[in-house]
Amino acid sequence: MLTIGGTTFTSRLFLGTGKFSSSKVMKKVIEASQTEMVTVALRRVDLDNPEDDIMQALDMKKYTFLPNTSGARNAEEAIRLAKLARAASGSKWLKLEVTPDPRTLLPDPVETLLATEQLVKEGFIVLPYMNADPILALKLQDVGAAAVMPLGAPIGTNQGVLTKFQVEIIIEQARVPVVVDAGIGAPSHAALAMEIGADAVLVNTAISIAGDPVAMAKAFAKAVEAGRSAYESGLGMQSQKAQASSPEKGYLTEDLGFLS
Amino acid sequence: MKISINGKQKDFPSNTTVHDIIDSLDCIPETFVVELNQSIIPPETYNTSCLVEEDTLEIIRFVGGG
Repeated sequence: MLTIGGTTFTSRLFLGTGKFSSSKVMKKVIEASQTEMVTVALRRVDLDNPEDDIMQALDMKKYTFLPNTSGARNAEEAIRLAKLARAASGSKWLKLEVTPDPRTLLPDPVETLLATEQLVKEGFIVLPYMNADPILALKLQDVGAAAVMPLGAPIGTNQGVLTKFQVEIIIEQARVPVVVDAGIGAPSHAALAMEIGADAVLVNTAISIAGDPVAMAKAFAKAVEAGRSAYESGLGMQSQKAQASSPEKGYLTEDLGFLS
Repeated sequence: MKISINGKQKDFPSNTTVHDIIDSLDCIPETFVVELNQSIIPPETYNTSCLVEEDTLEIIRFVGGG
């Protein structure tokens, strides 16, 4: 079981709610994934065109709600969004996302660290989205991050855990749970993240833009479970040299010497 | 008087309250949060918050996001 910010989770798959074709599909996907934590964003109401309210499809009592600060370009904007999120939901949980560059959507390490420190002081349970920088991960933990969320690859790219080397170091040194977030594009990527010891993964695009998002959500749930089981079972060492799987004695050719 | 709501300038009669504006929209009040001149205002004050010329309102709610 995984514990973050005093809450225990049975499922190690966290879900983003963006880019779904409808609230109806989103709701089915969330159920199929068996997730217990979902992220949401904050935006202006379109006054001329108020659409489907996502809150109609999301039961806040059933899931831990993780509002994000997507859109924030610096700590000040992130802190403002965090307070809006808390006022709107009553939730102390926060996915801190500070992404000044729309081309890469990479998180600003300095602003993320500043905002984490401030928001922790104001009573938020902060899960900062970060580049897979082991030193930054330790600094975020020092200022009270409840978990750290290193990226596998840039948001929405579906490229997998390109940062495997760094994520392994983060996991090795972590004092809080590590959630690989962003870039996970296939169940095999999620399984890999779990096999190297991540405590959870956060997936959005890979599921929402899949041909069959509900089936994909189920596939991801299985992959996360498989990866975690593998990690807990003790994966065998890798080797450069071939080592036979079948016994090395009692070969047929030993007893049938006339063949040689 | 001119009020800015979600980045758009709109005209309202004097003594319009936040409550009046929200009423004129088709949203369920419980699902969003309101910022008046960059300060979050609690729902209990919507009725008593009288707007003045050049006030800025932001009406924000949750949407899908990763």
